[in-house]
Amino acid sequence: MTSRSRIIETLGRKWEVDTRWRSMLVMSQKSSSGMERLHPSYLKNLFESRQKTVENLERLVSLTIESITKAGGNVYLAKTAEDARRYIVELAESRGVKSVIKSKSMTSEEIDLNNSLIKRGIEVVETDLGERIVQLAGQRPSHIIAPAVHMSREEIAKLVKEKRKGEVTTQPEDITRFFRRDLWNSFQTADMGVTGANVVVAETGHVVIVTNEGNGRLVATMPRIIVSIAGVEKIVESWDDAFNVLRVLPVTAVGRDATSYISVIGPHGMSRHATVSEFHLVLLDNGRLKASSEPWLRDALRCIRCAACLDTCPTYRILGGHVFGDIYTGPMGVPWTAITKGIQSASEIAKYCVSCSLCLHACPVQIDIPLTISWIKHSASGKSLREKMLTMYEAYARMGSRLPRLFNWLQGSRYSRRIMESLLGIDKRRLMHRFRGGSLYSVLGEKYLGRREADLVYFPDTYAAYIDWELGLLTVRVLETLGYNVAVPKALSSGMPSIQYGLHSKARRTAARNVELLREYVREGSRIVCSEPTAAYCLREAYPKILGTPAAEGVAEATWELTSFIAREAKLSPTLASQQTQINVFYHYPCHSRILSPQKPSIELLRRVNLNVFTVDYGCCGIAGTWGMRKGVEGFLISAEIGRRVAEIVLETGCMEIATESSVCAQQLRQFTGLKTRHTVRYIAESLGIQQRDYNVLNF
Amino acid sequence: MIKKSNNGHGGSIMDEMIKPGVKKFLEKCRDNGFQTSYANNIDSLLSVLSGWAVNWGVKKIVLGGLSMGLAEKIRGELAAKKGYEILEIGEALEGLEGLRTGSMGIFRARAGVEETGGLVVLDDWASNLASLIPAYAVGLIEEDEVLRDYWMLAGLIRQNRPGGLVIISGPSSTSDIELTHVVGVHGPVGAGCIVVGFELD
Repeated sequence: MTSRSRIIETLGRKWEVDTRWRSMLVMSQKSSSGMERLHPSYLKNLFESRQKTVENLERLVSLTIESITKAGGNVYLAKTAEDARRYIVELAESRGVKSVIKSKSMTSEEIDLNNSLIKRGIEVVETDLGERIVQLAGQRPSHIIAPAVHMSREEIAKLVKEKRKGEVTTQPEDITRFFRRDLWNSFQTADMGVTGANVVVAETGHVVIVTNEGNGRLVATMPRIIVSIAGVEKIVESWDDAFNVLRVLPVTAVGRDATSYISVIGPHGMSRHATVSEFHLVLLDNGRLKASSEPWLRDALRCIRCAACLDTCPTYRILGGHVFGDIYTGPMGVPWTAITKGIQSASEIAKYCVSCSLCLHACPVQIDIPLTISWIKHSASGKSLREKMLTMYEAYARMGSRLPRLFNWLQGSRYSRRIMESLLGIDKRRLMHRFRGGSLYSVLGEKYLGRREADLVYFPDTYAAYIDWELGLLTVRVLETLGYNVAVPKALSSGMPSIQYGLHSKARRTAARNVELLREYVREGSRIVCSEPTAAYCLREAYPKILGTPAAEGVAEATWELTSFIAREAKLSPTLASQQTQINVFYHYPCHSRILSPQKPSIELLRRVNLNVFTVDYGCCGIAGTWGMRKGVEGFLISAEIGRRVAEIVLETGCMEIATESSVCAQQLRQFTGLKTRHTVRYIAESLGIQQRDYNVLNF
Repeated sequence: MIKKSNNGHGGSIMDEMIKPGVKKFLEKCRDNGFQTSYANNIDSLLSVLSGWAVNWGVKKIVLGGLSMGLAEKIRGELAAKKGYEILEIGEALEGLEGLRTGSMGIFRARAGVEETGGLVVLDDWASNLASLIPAYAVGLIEEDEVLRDYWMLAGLIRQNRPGGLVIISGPSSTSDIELTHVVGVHGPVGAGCIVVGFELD
């Protein structure tokens, strides 16, 4: 089945999409509120422990083997998936194993262990409830910690009846009770237990597994032979490092301080028999050691498999892991597919990443998943012509600024939209911004373009520079009213589409040009202000990683998001607030702002200018720059699924206006809510008494 | 003034006798779904155990990892006076299935973790089984065994080098079906934690 038909089929299963979207929303809210509760030192310690593993992987593998061997245990380092499979299958056969019970293990999925055992006539029973359900359904997990999240209670009850001849109602309690009874016999009779591992402690050779159901404990306790499979990256040096992981993992995974069980299996296992059992640890390399020396992949080895990135990912919420994923699903699934199966396999699922960067915000170990995916897209062969054309959005906007009537007509005409859809791949249903005509640079003139000494440098990006220069002009006026001297040198747009579609050479050129231009100002003490969050994200987060130069670092350090700058640095007189009529405004928090300004300064500002501000944390609105403009299943259809669900939430608040900072988010929100959507700076300008033109002809 | 707080099962707690760390530990355990209590003497402990057994409707009691003296006292109270069938986990190995319903395991935990609300079973197969197989499981620890956080436990692990260990932070549960939280999957459907103010062993 092609990816196109898989997407169409998935979108057709409305119940599944709705449920997944709601479930992921709940899970990501639990995860993010849990992260907010955690003392920052826990996240710092976790990062350091995981980074230590990545930097010392080979040494820690040797130390683990030494600790287990010294304690008289069995450990095997498997170079490949096939190697690991062979070891476990041979072990099972040599010990006369007839049945195997398993607790949840993505690493065993990675090596396709079940099929190898079944082919040798060995029965394999998954015991994690979700894993057992997908096993009975003949599927693979769609989520790494909630494997059956894509299935309804009705489907599961039907499955129980068909596959296990069980009579159950559709109540989750009843279904759970059935599996408790049904699996008990397997626990009692199995010869071998196979577990995964959340952590392996090198200093003592212990394997740690984290579960809630208790199946992990039974799998590690009941059979006479126990095998744990662990990717080598799960190793940590010491018990302090292990607890750095175990303290944070349940918080970011399910929003709780602790899971019901942390089971620690020693080099001699944890048998129900008082006598010594047979325990084997299979350490799996399968590309991990090589990845530890790859600059763009090594950070992914820090992953603790909490799934926070899946829960927050807008496309994962709609498509699920059977489309957006291989063995490992969602955002982290992309680098992990690259590590275990190669770049080309990873590029097949990399296209579902829209570079919103919410996964970076959610990740407790700061893996820059979007930039890693961008690098994977860059490294894979075969870029589509349409993606290359979308990276020319700035050129399109420049032309539009010169020929506004023609472009506005083209964008409004049904016939020309069909042509645009076939040639450029821009979906004809996507509401486009209207061009005001002219550019910010021509409106401001040489006084601003050529100014060398300035407190602030305004970096407008495509929308404020070429589509609606009035937003740029207002920004400059607001900053001047607040007492700043502003320069607006003619820069290139931020180049986000090139980063998004993996055209790294072009992204590097754009970044280098902009850094070259801005570094002179920074050297003179100017700070850079962006009204577009994505532009600030590029300058602050992406450019230093893409270029890796001190100049890029310097520019990054000097860059501010506009509202963050006004809220933190500028003196906004409280008396101005009374000039504003009090109205209810919904605030949409753009994805890139979450990375840059986690304290939500815009809400504070909007309240200071006397507005009733409402907001709901639903994550990404689903447009993600030019991605949501793309034709059909390549973007718009998925984007619309997200947009409609977000619109329902926004409209429920009863607000009649939306404030945000991202021009593309505004495009999406306007299209699906039908509400007036304005940049936050417009409310500030109003409050400062700065006259504005009629913004209704435009969208933002 | 002595404030009595009802533990819900007939035992009484004298709040001011409980150390602040123990109080926080018990609160955290309750958040995690444990039944909790504090017992400052053996009679109070036996009364709490008896109350919970009645409340959970159990018929059998399984002991794992308890000292002989404590096991005898439990037998004396719960078997002789109340009529419960009491087994050591070793005696029950061949009939584990019979423990899955209507039984309560009582096990010796070697530490508690205040910050996250968990009981630690250290290198003890009998306590491990008694905390895992029965329908309900109650862990006992002494108040001095409550550790502040995981990193204090790390010290204990380094010192003791246990073969295996388990940290139990609530009853068995799942949210695998439509994210509905259900208690009691493969492990105990109910869990209890009693901190005692006297020596258990």
